[in-house]
Amino acid sequence: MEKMFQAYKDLAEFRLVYINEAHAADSDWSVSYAEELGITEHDDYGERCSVANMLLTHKQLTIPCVVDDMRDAVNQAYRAWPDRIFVVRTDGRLAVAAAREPFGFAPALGATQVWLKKLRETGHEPPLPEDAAEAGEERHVTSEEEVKAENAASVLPARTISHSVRRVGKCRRARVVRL
Amino acid sequence: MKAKRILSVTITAALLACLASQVEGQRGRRGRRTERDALKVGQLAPTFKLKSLDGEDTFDLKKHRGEKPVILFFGSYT
Repeated sequence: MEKMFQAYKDLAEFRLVYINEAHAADSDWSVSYAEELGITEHDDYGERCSVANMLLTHKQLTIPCVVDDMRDAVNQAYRAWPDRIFVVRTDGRLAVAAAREPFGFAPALGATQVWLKKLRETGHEPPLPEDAAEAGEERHVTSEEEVKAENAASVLPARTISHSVRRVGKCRRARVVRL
Repeated sequence: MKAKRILSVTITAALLACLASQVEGQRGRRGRRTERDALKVGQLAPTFKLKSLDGEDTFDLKKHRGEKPVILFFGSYT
């Protein structure tokens, strides 16, 4: 992975998308070295970032890393857990979509290598295979920031709220008078 | 006797299938091991924005359209 990044980083944009742990010590799929390293299911985003940082340091990876949020939204959109590789063409369509791990990752790594090699040799993206799926509808994974922004926008402005409260107050008084 | 055996095998198979689908559904909610709606070659990649590890930048997949292909490695430490 790191070798591929070093060989082709001038041709393509690489990102390691760090997602929830596959074999955390406190999970159903735990492995012994997770216990040794103290890697458990992430409790919060800070912990997730810490383990991602540990991964890059221990494995000496220099690939730019982004971290999925605690909703696992991007992971779910890509059905990525426990690990997968995707090549996204410049038109936004997938050129390589790995099958499920543990059998999917290695072939996809090879397919990605071949795809990048062809790109290097020809200067063009290899065409999609004839049996490729339709592009389909575009989907966007809403980020936590976008959700917060939407929520903030949906809250009534302070002036409107105070006006509403005044109106409610008047209604109450009116009701009392009527009674 | 034979009919009883066939019936018990059928019921057991149905129960196992039901149990398997429930487990698959639970994993699917966490983005795990659901292949029914896995992305395929040719489909548009879902766009997303995620913060970089240092928190200083935001990676926006859509911004790279028309510029460079993007290689996404999804994974974790374990």
